[in-house]
Parts: sequence; structure tokens; C-alpha cells
Amino acid sequence: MHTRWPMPRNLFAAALALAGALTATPAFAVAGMPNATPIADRVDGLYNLIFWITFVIFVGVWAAMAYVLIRYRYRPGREAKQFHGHTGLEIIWTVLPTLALIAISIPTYKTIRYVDNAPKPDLTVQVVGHQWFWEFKYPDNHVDVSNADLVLPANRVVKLLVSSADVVHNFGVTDFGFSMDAIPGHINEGWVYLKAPGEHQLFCRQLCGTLHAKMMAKVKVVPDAEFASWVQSKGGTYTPGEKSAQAAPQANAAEQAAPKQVAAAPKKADGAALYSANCASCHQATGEGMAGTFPPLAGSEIPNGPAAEHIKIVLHGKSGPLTVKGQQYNGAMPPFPQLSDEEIAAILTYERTSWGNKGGAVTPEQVKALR
Amino acid sequence: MTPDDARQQEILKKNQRTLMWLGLVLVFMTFFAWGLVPFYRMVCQKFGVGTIPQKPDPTQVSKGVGSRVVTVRFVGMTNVGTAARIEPLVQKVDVKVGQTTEVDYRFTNLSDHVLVFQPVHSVVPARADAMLHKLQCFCYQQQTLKPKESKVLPLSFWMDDKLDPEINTVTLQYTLYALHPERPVAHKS
Amino acid sequence: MSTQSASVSHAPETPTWVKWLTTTDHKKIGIMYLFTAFILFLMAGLFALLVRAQLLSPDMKILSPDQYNQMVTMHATGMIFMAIIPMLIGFANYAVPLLIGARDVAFPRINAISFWLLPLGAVMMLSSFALGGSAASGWTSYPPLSGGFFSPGVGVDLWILGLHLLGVSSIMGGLNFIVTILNMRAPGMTLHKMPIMCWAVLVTSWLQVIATPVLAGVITMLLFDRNFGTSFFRPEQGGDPLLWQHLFWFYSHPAVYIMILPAFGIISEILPVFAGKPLFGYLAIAYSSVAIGVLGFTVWAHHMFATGLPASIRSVFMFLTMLIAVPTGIKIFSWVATLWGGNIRFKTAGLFAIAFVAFFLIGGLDGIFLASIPTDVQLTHTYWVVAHIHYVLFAGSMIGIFSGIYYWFPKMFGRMLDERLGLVHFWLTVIAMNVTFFPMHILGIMGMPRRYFTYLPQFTDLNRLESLASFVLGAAQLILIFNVIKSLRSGEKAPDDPWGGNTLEWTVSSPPPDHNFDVIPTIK
Repeated sequence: MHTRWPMPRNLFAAALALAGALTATPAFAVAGMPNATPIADRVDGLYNLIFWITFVIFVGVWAAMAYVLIRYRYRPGREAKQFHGHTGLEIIWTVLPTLALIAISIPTYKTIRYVDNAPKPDLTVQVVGHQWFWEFKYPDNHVDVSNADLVLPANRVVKLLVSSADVVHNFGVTDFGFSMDAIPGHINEGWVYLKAPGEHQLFCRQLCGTLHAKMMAKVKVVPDAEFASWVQSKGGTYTPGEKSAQAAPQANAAEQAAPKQVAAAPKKADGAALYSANCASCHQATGEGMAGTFPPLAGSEIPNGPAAEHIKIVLHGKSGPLTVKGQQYNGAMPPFPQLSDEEIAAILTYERTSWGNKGGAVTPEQVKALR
Repeated sequence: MTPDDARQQEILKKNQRTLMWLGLVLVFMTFFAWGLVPFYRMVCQKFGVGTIPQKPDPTQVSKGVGSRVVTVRFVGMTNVGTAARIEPLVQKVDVKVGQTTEVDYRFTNLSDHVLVFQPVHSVVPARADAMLHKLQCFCYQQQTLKPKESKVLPLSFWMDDKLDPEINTVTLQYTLYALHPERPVAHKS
Repeated sequence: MSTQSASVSHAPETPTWVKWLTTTDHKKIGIMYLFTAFILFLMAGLFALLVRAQLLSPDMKILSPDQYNQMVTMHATGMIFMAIIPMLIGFANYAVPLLIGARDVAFPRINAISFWLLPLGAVMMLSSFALGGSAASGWTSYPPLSGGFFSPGVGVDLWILGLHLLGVSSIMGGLNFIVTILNMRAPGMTLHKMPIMCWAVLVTSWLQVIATPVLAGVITMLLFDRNFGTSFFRPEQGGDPLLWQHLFWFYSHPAVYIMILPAFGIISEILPVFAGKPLFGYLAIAYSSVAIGVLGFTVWAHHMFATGLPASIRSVFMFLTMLIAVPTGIKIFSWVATLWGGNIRFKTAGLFAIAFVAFFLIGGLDGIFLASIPTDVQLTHTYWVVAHIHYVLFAGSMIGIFSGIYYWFPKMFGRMLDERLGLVHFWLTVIAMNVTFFPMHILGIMGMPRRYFTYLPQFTDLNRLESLASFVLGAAQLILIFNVIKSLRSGEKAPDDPWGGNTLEWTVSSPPPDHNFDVIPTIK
């Protein structure tokens, strides 16, 4: 049985070299990613350690295979060596990977310790996953924003508390160096110390239904003073920390303010902001919805029709086949009973008077009557 | 009967015996799979991480107030389809270990029908859960709110001094789940 | 039982297709498994191509978001439960009785039932497309998304029922092979003398028998939660969504080994034949399979590192997961050593086996990043995981399956496959596979989450490259189909032993007689 070498030898060598070089690209990709936190620095370090250990194994195996495939390719009349094993060799390649794994495990364990031992936070932010937007609450500062940027101060220890109001989500900011699942009924925590002002991308990484891919937000890191004015603009309070910027945070028993029992000042219901927080992830800021998936509000029969029908949909949700502006839809909208009468009235008024809609205003009393 | 047939007969018998044993393995694994459910709940209770905690354990008594101070933070969440609000009246307190502390939560029914809900319990860091001993809690059973009713319910607890010294803040979250959540109403037309 | 099947095949009035549909012969059932699973492979592959078409650019409108989630879900479910596992069971069916010198499996009728449950389960699950849409909560179906509140359609229910049928099929297959391998080896063939493929199938079968009941249990719980008001996964009545993740991965991690161990077995048969020398470290390879099988049950929580499990528990699972790298490494090194000093013939079957070693290696190494907790929580749920699973299941399982197809086709049908077409299929598959799946590592590092129907502009170039390569990968499989059809019609007649194999199937005619062996061989 004569078989020719299926490819010229030089081409084979070139292909191998190219493959080896391409295989190293993940290391460069990691180096190209910005690290926003000291955790990300350490995870990068660990990544690089694992990468180069595995790369050496990879190149070793490939080099051995390339040698074998060329050196021992078919030649008529050549005798294949008949051996069944080699105990020494087998011990070596059991022990060496074990040592490599120990080499990986020790820095891994150190990194885990670093990540898990959160320093005393300067600021606590609660992150809540919703289908399909993020809500950010600053409980000590009386700020609560939805479907907006996550604004964080630089050079402060920020504790992130992550949970979900519906399905499993995952809070993933690549530049932070970690991700956390948001699981309904559970709370998860992590901490960041953002080294510099800048912008980062937050993704939901766990499949959470139709608009999983749209469940994103920007993380805006700003200087402490700017953060304070942002909090104020949202009706909250924040005192810029006296602590000077640290290279890396240390756990310390810093002075802790006495628990404030100030209830959040009642805010005037702002229809546009509430729409943006609760509705725009599906119906879009433009009110145009998404073709085939989420019906439009702009020019739609519902916000231009009787207010009662519109209120019922928001209070009780809606599912099943639906025709809007001649288009067929077959989805489900969740109910919004958690919104107050005033909030629902403000949202509906906004929807019924924007984008050319002429449905007219809705009063809290109308909503109350239909609850 | 040829020797080959005799061997086949013997194998046939052996096969049935082996299959019987494997059937037992299968039955065992089925019981094992369903048994994992109570086992999981048991492990969670043991480590105090169950979603609905058990009543306080009377054998757990504070050995007196220590000097170590721990921050306890309170978080309230509402699950989708639940027409209620939960607000911890205090966001966080600094407590000395062993010291009994009481905090209040306000629950508000936003709907105009009677609402039955269960607060679901969760603590981070998870290993702190078993160290946070509750004496009184609204989380032990389902709660009922009349239409539009708002009421304040207390939670009292003390922190065990065996809490891992590395932990400086413990966060306690309750998520409200209506037992009959509002579902999207099927469109009729 | 051999006399029974022999009498059926001699009855002149029975048409061929009836003979196939009513057969209990392991060879026919094996071929039917391979045929059915290959059709389902093409279907699940088509789903993947639709997904890749949608990802050609961020604003593609090929699939709606819901359709996209359905395709993602059914691609994975289809590949795992309807394509890869049944194809490997098909090879086990065809080869194991021949390899151990038996005339059939232990329970031929149970074997026929396990096969027929495959199309039944597939039809059950796929019927959801006609009944309002399939499950769209991912093959992992995490509640509450897969629960009645968020997935009210029948898709998830049919997914569960279909999975039940496929699970029963898998369990019955496992029982059959354990009994067959333990009891029906030819006289003189001790466990340590049986072909290495049989070791792989033996361990896999145990995994099927031990792990699948847990899957059956957990999906039944979901069915009850959805339809009968129970609360296994609903926290408001004492359940826990995390319980699903524990139980699901208790099955699904071993399921990965169900999909890879038989492929290890296949290439461990094929590499020595084309190297012209014995397998290096037979016992090490056999017992490393056992070690992988046992360790496979102790690592499930590494899929849950981001859920907030206590660090102590996570660390235990991390160390156990890393431990699996050791037996896997032993196998890789032994395969390279098997080639060392040989006289290597580059036939398509052998080339696929060599490619398996070269590229499965990547799927082993990139998994180490997912074993280490800090790098895992950074990379989890991103395209890195997609890259990893495809290097294991495509560069591993599928390449192993291709190797097996080229190797055993002459035995199955008495005709040789065309080698030139085989080489084209091989090179296109291997190159397109790497261009499709390797850049996913980079996307993962850049933070692109999996299961996104659209993405940010910075991910466009790599996604487009992957999509184009995936179309080549899909098209390359048409060459295999063409090769099979052409060779069945007019392929060169295959001799009894075209490759110079050492195992018993090459001692009988191609295709083998109905009863396999006139005289049961005795092994010295």
C-alpha cells in the first residue's frame, strides 16, 4: 500500500510555524485588554502563567508530532518498531503535568484569597438584573437608576451587590477581571477599586430570554468630586471621601458613619425617565419597538386608543397574538404592578403624548380604578 | 448440544444475572437523584444558606457582647410580578458581636387585593449566614397584606463571634415573592 | 439469537427495508444509529449555520431574537443528545461485538428498542417547532427562565419529554454494553487483552447508567414545577434555582465524557493500525479512561464558579477539575508515543486520528483556564467557553467520529471510500474547524458573551471570519456525503482487512456474515 506524503515538506513546516504563532494570539489579546482594577491585574498575571505553561505543553506535543510524522512517514520496507510502553517515560509524563498543575494552583489560590477578602468599602452599589436591563441602586446615597450608565468613583473601594428580580443574569465587566451571576432569591458580592476614570462595558453574560444580547450598559468611572455632583443631580447625597488615592486598597477598619435613617425624599414621577427605565429596553427610546418582536408605541393603536386598555396592559401584562399597525406579534409583556399609580400614570402620559401620539394624559386615579 | 451452544446458554444466564445487578444500580441511582433534593436542603440548612430559614435554634445563645464590630447591611428586593415593596428602614448598622440588634422593614401592598408573599433569604458572604443568628424574623413564614396595606415588621439578630475575622461586612437580602404572581394576561380577540 | 436473525435473513419473502426496520442485528442497528444520527447532525449543524449567518454582522435580520435563542438551544441539544452520543453508540454497536468476538450484543431486542427511541425522541423534541416554537432557554435550561412563568409555551415541555426518551435510550444502551463486554468476550480475551475501544465503551456505559437517571430526575422536577405546581426550583416555597444547576451538571459533566471517551477509544484503535505498531501504554490508556470516568462525577460545580458558592467548596472542585488533566495528558502523550518509531501511512482515517490528537489537545489546554477559579469567572459565559466546548466536541468527538467512519466503512459496506475525496474532506474540515473555533478564544478574552444574537462593533471582524469559515466547514461535510453515496454505488471492493488491522473484525469478510463468526475465536 503506497501512500505519498500528502503535502510538500516545506509547506508543512511553514503551516506548523504559522499555526504555532496563531495559537499564541490569545496571550497578546489579553495584553491588549485594559485592566480597570487590581483584581484584573492579578487575573491577567494568572492567565499569562497558565497560558505560557499550556503553550509550552502545546508546542512540545506539536513539535514531537511534527517530528514523528516526518521522520516516521511511510517508507516501503521500513520496519515499525514494536514496543508496548516505557515505564520511565510514563512516570515522567504523569509527574510533570502534576507539577505544572501545582505551579498553577498556588498563584490561583493566592488570587482567590485576594478576590474574596473584600476591603472595607467606601461605597456600596446594588446591581439588579431585570429582563432586559440593569438597575443600579446606591442605598446609602438614595439614588436608584435603571437602564442607564453605571457611574462609579475612581480610586475608591466599591462593593457591588448583585441580584436579580426575575431570571438568572450575569454581571460581567471584562475590564473588572471577574463576573458574577445574578440569581433570583440569592445575593452575590464583589468589589472593585477603579484605578482611573474611564469607560467600560457591562454585559449580561447569562442567557436571560429574548433580549439577552441587548442587556448591556456602560460603566462610567469618574473622579470622586464629579461622582458627588452626579449623585446630587440624581437627588441623592454623597460626601467625597477624605482618603487620598491609594495604589491598592488594604482592608482597614475605617471610620463608619452611623446608620442614617433618612427615607428617600419622595420624587416627582418623571414619565420620560420612568419610560426609559422600564419600557425602553423593549419598545426602544424612539417608541418604535423591534420589528417582529416588540410592537411599536409610536403611532400604535394602543397609546392612541382608550386609556383603560392601555392601563390594563401595563398593570397585568399581555401575551399571545397581537396586531399592531398591521404587523403580527406573538410575545409576552410582563405586568408592572410594582409601579405606583403615579408612576404608571406618568409613563402612560409620556407614551400617549410622545412620538406624534395623540392618546392624551392619564391620571393616577384612572390607574387606581383599574388595579 | 455443541460446546458452542452450551457456552451460549451459559452466557445467556450470566447476562440475565448481570442485568439484574445493573437494574439495582439503576434503581439506586434513581432514588439517589431524587434523594439529592432533601440532601441539598439539609446541607443548606446546616450551613444556614436555605432560601427559607428555619425557626431560631434555642441552643444558640449569645455568650455576651464582644468588642469586635461588624457592619450588617440590609437589602430588600421584589421579584417580578409581585405588587409589593419591601424597604429596610435602616440601610446598615454596625453591631458588636453577641449584641442583639433589632431593625425594621416596611412592607407595602401596592395592589387592591390581598397579597400573600414569602420573603426569600440570602446572605453574603455565604459563610456568614450560619453566624447571623435570628431571634425574630418575618422570613420564617408567609406573610399576608391586606389591599394597599403597609406594615412594619421587625428582624432581630445577633452576630456570632466565630464569624471569620476577615469578614467586615455582612449583607442580608430579602426578596419578596408573591405566591400567586401576576402573570401576563392572555390576549382575547 | 444468532440462529433467529440468520433465519430471518434467509427468508426470501422479506423485503430488504422490512429486514432493516425489524432487525435486532447489532451491525444493522449500528448502521441505523449512524445514519439517523448523521441526519440529525446535519440538522443541528444547519441550526449552527443559521446562528453563524445571524452573526455575520451586528445588524443581521436572518433570525428574530427568539428564533435565535431557539436555534442556539436546539443546536446544542441536537448535537449532544441526537448526534454525537448516538453516533458514538452506533460505533459501539457496530464494533464492540466484533471486537470481542461475540455474535451480537447481550440483549439484541433491547438494543433495537434503544435505537428506535432515538428517532422517537428527536421527533418529539423537534415537533415543538410546529407547536409554537422550541425551547429557547439554552441546552442548560436554567430555571426560572425555563420555568412556566418565563417560558409558557410547550417548547420546554417537549424538550423535557424528548430528552426523557433519548435518556431511556442511552440508559438501555449502557446496560447492554456493560453486560456484553463483561460476559460475552471470546474465550481467552481477558479484560486486559480486549481492544481499547471496549474499555472506552465500558466506562462510557457505566457513566450512562449512573448519570442519566439524575438527568431524568432533574428534568422531571422541572416538568413538575412547570405543570403541577411543585417548587423544586422556586425559592418562594423552599426550592432553589441553584439546585437545578447542581443536579443538571451532576449529569452533564459526565455527559461530556460520554461524548469523548468513545472517541478516545476509536482513535486508540486507529492510530496503532496506521503507525504499524502496537498502542503505547495500553494499561495507562485503559485505566486513565476509568480515572476520567470516576473523577468526572466529582467536578460538576466548576460550571458554577460564578454563582457565589463559598470559596472553600469552589476550591475543592477546582483541584479535582485540574486533576482530570493528568489522565488526559497521559492519553495524549501515549498517542504521540504510539506514532513514534512507526511506519505511518497517511490514509484519511489515520489523518483524522492524528488531527484528533493535535486539536483535541487545544480543547484540553484551554479548559485549564476554566478550571482555575479566577480565570474562570473572568472567561465564563463568554466565547472562550464556546471555543473550549467546540475543541472538545468538534475537534475531539466529531473528528474521532469521522476517523471511525473512514476506518470502518469498508467493513460495514464491503466497499472502500474514495481516498482523494477523503483527503479533501479532511483538509477542508480541519482548516475550517480551526478558523471557525480558534478566534472564539480571542472573542472570549475581549468579553463577548455567548448566546448573543447581536454584538458590539468591535467584535465584527472575528465574528465574520468565524461565520465564513463555518460555512466552509458545513459545505465540507457535503463532500463526505457525496463520497459515501458514490462509494456505496461504485466504490472499490473492500478486502477483509484493507488497513492491516489487528482486531477481530478484520478476520471476517467485509461486510461480516450475519452471525459475525462461524467459529467463536479463541484468544491466546
